[in-house]
Amino acid sequence: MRKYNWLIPGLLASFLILVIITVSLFGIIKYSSFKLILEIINDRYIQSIIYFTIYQSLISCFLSILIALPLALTIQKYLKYRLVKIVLSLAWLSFISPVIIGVFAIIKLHGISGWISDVSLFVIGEKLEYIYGLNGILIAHIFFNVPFALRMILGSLNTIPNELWRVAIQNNLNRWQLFKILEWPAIRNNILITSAIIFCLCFTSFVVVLILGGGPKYSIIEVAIYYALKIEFNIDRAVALGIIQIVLASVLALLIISFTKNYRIEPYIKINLKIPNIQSNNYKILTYDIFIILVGIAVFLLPIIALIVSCLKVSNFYSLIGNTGLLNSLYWTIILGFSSGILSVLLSIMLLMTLKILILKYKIKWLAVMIELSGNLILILPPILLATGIFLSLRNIFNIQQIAPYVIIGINCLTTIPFSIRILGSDYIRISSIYSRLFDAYNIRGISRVLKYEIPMMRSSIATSLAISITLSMGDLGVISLFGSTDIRTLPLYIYQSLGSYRMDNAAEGILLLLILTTSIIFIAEQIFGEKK
Amino acid sequence: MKLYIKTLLIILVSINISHSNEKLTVYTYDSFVAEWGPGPLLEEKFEKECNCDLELIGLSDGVEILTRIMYEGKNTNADVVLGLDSNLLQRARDTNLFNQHNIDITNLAISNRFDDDIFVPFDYGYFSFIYDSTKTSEPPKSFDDLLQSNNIRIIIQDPRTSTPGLGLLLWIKDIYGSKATEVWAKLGEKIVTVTPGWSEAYGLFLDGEADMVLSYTTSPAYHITYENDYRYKAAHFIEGHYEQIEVAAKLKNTQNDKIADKFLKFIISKEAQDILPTTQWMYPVILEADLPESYDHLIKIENPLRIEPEEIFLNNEQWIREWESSLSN
Repeated sequence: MRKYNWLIPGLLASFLILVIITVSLFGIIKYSSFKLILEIINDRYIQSIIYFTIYQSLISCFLSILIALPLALTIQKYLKYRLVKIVLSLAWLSFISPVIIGVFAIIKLHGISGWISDVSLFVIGEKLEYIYGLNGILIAHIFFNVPFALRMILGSLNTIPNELWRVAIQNNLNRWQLFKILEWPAIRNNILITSAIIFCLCFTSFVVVLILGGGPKYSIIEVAIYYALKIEFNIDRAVALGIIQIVLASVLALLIISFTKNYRIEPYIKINLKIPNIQSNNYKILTYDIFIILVGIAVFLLPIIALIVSCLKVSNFYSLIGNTGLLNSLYWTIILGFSSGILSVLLSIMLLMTLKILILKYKIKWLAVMIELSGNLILILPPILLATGIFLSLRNIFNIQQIAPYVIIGINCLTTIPFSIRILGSDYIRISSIYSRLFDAYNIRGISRVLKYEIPMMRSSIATSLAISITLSMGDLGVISLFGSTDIRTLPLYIYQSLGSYRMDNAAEGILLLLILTTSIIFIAEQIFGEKK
Repeated sequence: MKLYIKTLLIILVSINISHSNEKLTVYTYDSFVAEWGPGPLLEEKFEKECNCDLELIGLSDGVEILTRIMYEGKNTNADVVLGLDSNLLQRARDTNLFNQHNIDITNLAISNRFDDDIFVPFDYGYFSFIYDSTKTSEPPKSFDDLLQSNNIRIIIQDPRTSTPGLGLLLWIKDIYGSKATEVWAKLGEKIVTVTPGWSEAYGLFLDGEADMVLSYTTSPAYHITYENDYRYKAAHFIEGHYEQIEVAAKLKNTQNDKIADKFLKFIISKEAQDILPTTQWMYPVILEADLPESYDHLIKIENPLRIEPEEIFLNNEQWIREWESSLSN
């Protein structure tokens, strides 16, 4: 039996994840009806929102990658500069911020009274209104997802060894050939899976579509589910719509992933951050590079800067300290966020421990796919159905108020696992492939291998994935608003409650505090712990 | 020996005291229980009066309160619900989960138009469009005015997910009846965006994204009281303004019937009602309540509009579909 020990962590983690999902589905499965699904599909209005859901997700996903790719290819040359590393850390902010805050940030920059409109007012005397409609939805999705795509692509580019670069340059390959032969193969798999993830995120992107869509014309399936559940009290309809959504999302995501090739691991000698020896004395290239980087910053940082400036106008740092309600929310935010974040990274590592051996040693693709799928399953499930399902399943057994913290931690952990796996994945597999023979030779096995050797080597990815899981969980508003209570209040909930009571100054304080908190965590993780020796 | 008896007595007495600390569970909505809302103050006052433990549970909004009760059914922990919207009364009544209150509600400010044996009203307000008087010098004076204007942009809420949104839908329905779809089509040209809830809409309005936002006639009072800012005003429409009444009710399956009754009586007592204007920013239902000075600056509504809950219940889905299609073109 000892031979199969390596299967345990992965299967255990998978099992835990599937248990939570099953508990949720259990609550709502009795409401499913095939007949109803057929009926709903035939409804004209539903057909139009299905079409729009798919359309906007595909375009958002495509645009995000389109922007992230040149950005990554350019930035990789300048990774040695501290400033660039700091900008990359700050880029995460748009990915992990609560959606409502991100939307406000975008409106502060792109809105009718936003910065860009003010500039236009100054220059041509007219305000600009372009944000409410499909444009806004796309801009918002790009804002939220480009940093994630950027980091994933950079991570893959990082795996190309210096030697290959030198050989390529010596052979005078031009830029396009460099991309086709060197860079694309390295990033191909990762970019496709990342696209699938971004597609799923946009597919269920409720708040963005509702606020920036401009009206019922632009609606997605998730909105219809919300309405059926909350307003019509029609669980049957909600479940039918949910099933339609799950099926569509899975089919399309799998379609995108089907373009990946088998896992291919190149044996590498060095693991350090590569700095390609491309001499850029060419001013044209330098200008182009700077332009691209500025565009990137404008996409994911400028809205946040606009938001911070506008918050500072309404409030200041001194009132932050005096506000006890705010500090109470800070406490819960930290507790719940850290718990789910750490749990998420733990489960991801467990999944990867099994996955790496399946892929490297035994090349059993189907089991590896199943295990990785269990980690990513959460992406295609409608969040609101998931939460309602858990509520319905558990309410007869437990007092919801008492188990609320655990449910919040559980669901948030589940939601961040796909990202932890992505961030840790390629690093872990690469390190394993390089050192596995060495460890075997020295008879270092099992848990001690993982804890003493592999994990310290992955320090920087673990730091990043911890930071992202923790901050993503901290930014959750959906689960906490369903299961939170008067006592358990996190910062996003505090902000939303303030907004709901005219208290714009309190909301601004909450936003500032949340941004300070998340930025600090990311910085500490990436700039301090993430430093490679 | 004496010490032994003393400790025994103390223990017995404290057990008695903890027994008399019965707990009343009230489902209400978020902003009610926020630290700046009426919740904390009301809780303090009521607990002193009843010598019991009041637990206010804040759900996301008024609609969620009814949803939660409906999902929990007979097993609900709630004794009282506080904050149901008057537009949902028929649906709430149909659940058959609420019990009759035995409270006299004939002497309230709204008694000439509201009477119910199950639901106790505790505050009310009127919907109206709020504008910034420094930016909009000539606000529309009627709905027709608004529809004819060329340069007014508005932000409204989604009637499917928010009570003000539903209020606007019913308001237009009440004034224009069967012509409502044309009205919405015309209004659609002026709409900047439709937000899921009141908070986003109001926040965007304050940020300057639109000239007017759908809110309550009492909204300006907040800015006057807390910010000494007089520029936000409510637009007075001659056709009348739609009214929203918030109610409380007792659950049939409550184990704490007497305390629930006490609470319902408390919520329309002067002590409680005095707190509401500057925490809820709605009008108190009793005539003797104190209103802050800022309320003097608000527009007065002489002709409140309201559609009967039964009619709303029967036509809700159809009206929403009408709304969806008018704005989808």
